Amino acid sequence: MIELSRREGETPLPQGDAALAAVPEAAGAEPESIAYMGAVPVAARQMLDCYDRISVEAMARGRGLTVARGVSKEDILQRLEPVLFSGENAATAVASLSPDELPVLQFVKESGGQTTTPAVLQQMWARGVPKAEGSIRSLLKRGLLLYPYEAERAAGTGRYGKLAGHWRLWAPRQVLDAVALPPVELPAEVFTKAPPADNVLPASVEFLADLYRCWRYLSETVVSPLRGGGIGRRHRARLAESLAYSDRLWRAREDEVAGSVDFLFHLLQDVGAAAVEADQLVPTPAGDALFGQSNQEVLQELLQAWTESTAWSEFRRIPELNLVPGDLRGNSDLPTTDTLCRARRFLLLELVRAPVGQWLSLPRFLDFLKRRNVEFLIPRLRPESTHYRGLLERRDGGEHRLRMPEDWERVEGRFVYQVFTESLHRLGLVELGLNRPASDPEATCVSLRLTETGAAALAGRPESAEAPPEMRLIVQPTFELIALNACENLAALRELCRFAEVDKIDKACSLHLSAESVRRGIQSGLTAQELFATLESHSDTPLPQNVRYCLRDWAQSFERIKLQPAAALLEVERSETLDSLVESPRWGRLIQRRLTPTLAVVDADRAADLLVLLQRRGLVCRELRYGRPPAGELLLDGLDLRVPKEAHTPYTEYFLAQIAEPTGESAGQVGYRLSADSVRQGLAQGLSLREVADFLREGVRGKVPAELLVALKAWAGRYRPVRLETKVLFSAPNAKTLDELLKVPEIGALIEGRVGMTDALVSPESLAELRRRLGDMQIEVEHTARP
Amino acid sequence: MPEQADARTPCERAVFHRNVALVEFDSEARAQEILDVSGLGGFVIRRLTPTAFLVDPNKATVLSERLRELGFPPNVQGGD
Repeated sequence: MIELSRREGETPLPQGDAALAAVPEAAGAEPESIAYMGAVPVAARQMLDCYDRISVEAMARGRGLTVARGVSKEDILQRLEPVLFSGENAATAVASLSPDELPVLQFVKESGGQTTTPAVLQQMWARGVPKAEGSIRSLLKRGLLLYPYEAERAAGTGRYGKLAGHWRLWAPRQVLDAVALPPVELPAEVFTKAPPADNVLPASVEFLADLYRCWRYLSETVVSPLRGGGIGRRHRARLAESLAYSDRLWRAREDEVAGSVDFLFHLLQDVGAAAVEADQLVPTPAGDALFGQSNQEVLQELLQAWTESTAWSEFRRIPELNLVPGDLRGNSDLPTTDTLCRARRFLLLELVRAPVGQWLSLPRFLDFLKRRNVEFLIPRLRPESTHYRGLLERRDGGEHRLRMPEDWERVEGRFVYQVFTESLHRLGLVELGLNRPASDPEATCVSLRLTETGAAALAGRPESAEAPPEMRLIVQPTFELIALNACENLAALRELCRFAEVDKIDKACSLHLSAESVRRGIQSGLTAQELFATLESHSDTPLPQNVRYCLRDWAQSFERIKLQPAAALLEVERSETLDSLVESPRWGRLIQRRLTPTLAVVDADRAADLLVLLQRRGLVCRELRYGRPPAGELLLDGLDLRVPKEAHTPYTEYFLAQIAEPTGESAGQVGYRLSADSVRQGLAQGLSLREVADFLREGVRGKVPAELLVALKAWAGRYRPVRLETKVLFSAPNAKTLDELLKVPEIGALIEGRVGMTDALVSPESLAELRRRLGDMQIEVEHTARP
Repeated sequence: MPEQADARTPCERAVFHRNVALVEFDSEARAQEILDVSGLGGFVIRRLTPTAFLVDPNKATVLSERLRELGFPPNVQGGD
């Protein structure tokens, strides 16, 4: 019998609570013989000191002691400590552990006797042990694990002293001695596609470089997207070759290569870097912004876009599954796009708990997922033991129905396999372990491990505290650039691509400078100074002199003439009006630059706002649009054109002056007259006949008389010369007569051409001969010739 | 309302020139050289300053190509 008695000097407990006997919970058991195993470790003593009474009491009960009410914490500890630090007692307690609890202590032993709660949770997840948190609590309650309160206090949980406040875990030596570690299972040999080597880019960097290449491909080539969002076979083949997919992919079958290229283009669209405009897939400004970020930020955006992708479906890409119409009512278990997104999120949430760099068995992981949420992809809306609707499996030369409970691995499990081996592996978030060398066609993925990049992307944190290596640039006197570490710094590479032509994107990228590429860079808004600064900031040596001079010349040559094809100008009468606008904090930004005191180039997008503002200020505003005539304002009378003075805009005047001669003003109208010479002069100055006709058509808002259009065309010399000749009409009474006469060689030779069923033409020179022949044949000739 | 307080001139007129092509040269001599000699002056609607010109927006592309052919590639800037 173990008694927990009050210490001397303690307040006597009230009556009724005098029976402070602590008895073993197992009725009839012999009193425990408690032997001290030496002194309690100082660390353990400190830990126990910080526990509150309730926790200590819970531990005592957990170790088979009965604690009467009112006993002080110290008294409980006095009896508990020998139990906690007894080898025999620890062995008994360990022997009674459940299958979920023992692995926790085994992991603590593997970790040298102390670890943290998150590490335990992560490892138990990886080993497929459920309820790890409950196991920790249970072990703490029995004193098989202790936790130091300092860590909790430092973490500011405010729960230290209580069993629920654990973070760092510690196991007594006696407990560890009693725990037997499982025999070490030698894992089967795991193959990877390519062992990490110094000259190979990390998978995620390689993927981002591929994505950037595809994005650039869109700006260089006209690509029409297919209905499903992919691209045509010709583009796929070209890109697969330039990306060297046949050497790089684990499985380089045609469908795998096509899938990899399609994945890139789907992702570009999902992340908003490319969009379909006028039936063409084109890069968007958002793509430019995307690649202007750090690789890590790009990867996180891509991961987000992939998770929410509605166009890409890993499920449809499972080769063994044939997706067919559902049951007779049209019901199908085919996952919807929303379900796919949810399933991807579920998988990522599970994956984020995986320890970085540690191989996970894929079958065990699938088993874990199945226990975790069997319905993560396809809900079980009906009783079990039914078939999947709308899905058939291709196997043994036939198609087989799949059953709900038994075939989970063939449907949901296969989806997981597809997500990991395709999407996440391509993104570089996981590394795959194969059961055979990658060159073996029978190789399949049997394990996977989360990469450091993947863990960082999933957690939304930087991959490492160290910044990625900086891009280094070698500028050759031949205008060639070699960029090292460029793929790790896509933002720097993108900056370089603004004014350099890309020859190759690889671990060492090669580019070259040309007048055209520099012009493109300057047109995109770069200045010559920025261009030099970009080159010099990444180069260890000064720029070669010839490169420097040429770049400066090229840059200056593009600054000689500036052309703004669709500008907006504001012209006022008084310079003070423009001054007040420029000085206005709100409106001053809209004035881009002043050409004269009363004339300024304004923000074309905000010109309408400026117009309203000036009208509010009391100015009489007029808007002149260039490039089109005043619709319906032209008055056309034969070859004379009249324009009301108020509609006589500078553009109308400019245009009409090219194709017509001014005839002066009268009755508030400005007159012009079209003539062959004036129109020809306009055409000689670069106008086209269509432009002239369109101007007139829109100006008169209606049909331009046909005779004027013919005249314009004739003046433009668009008609070939016509031929006028005198012919004699040979008219037979009916078609049969003419047919028969034409068969007579002597007569047929004199006929020049038939112009109808009964009529033919004869030249005047042949008329006498024809008359003689017809006379010889006794065919009467009627003369209808008029003078 | 500072916008209403300053420079209010009831009869003053303002003209907005919308969708017009604007060409600016770095010097008057170059403007003369290119517009007069090359014959591109036919596209000019109005001379704003000795170096700035309003040009037919429908001819901006042709103008840009001709200038490039003449060895004066223009810096084409965005519009509306």
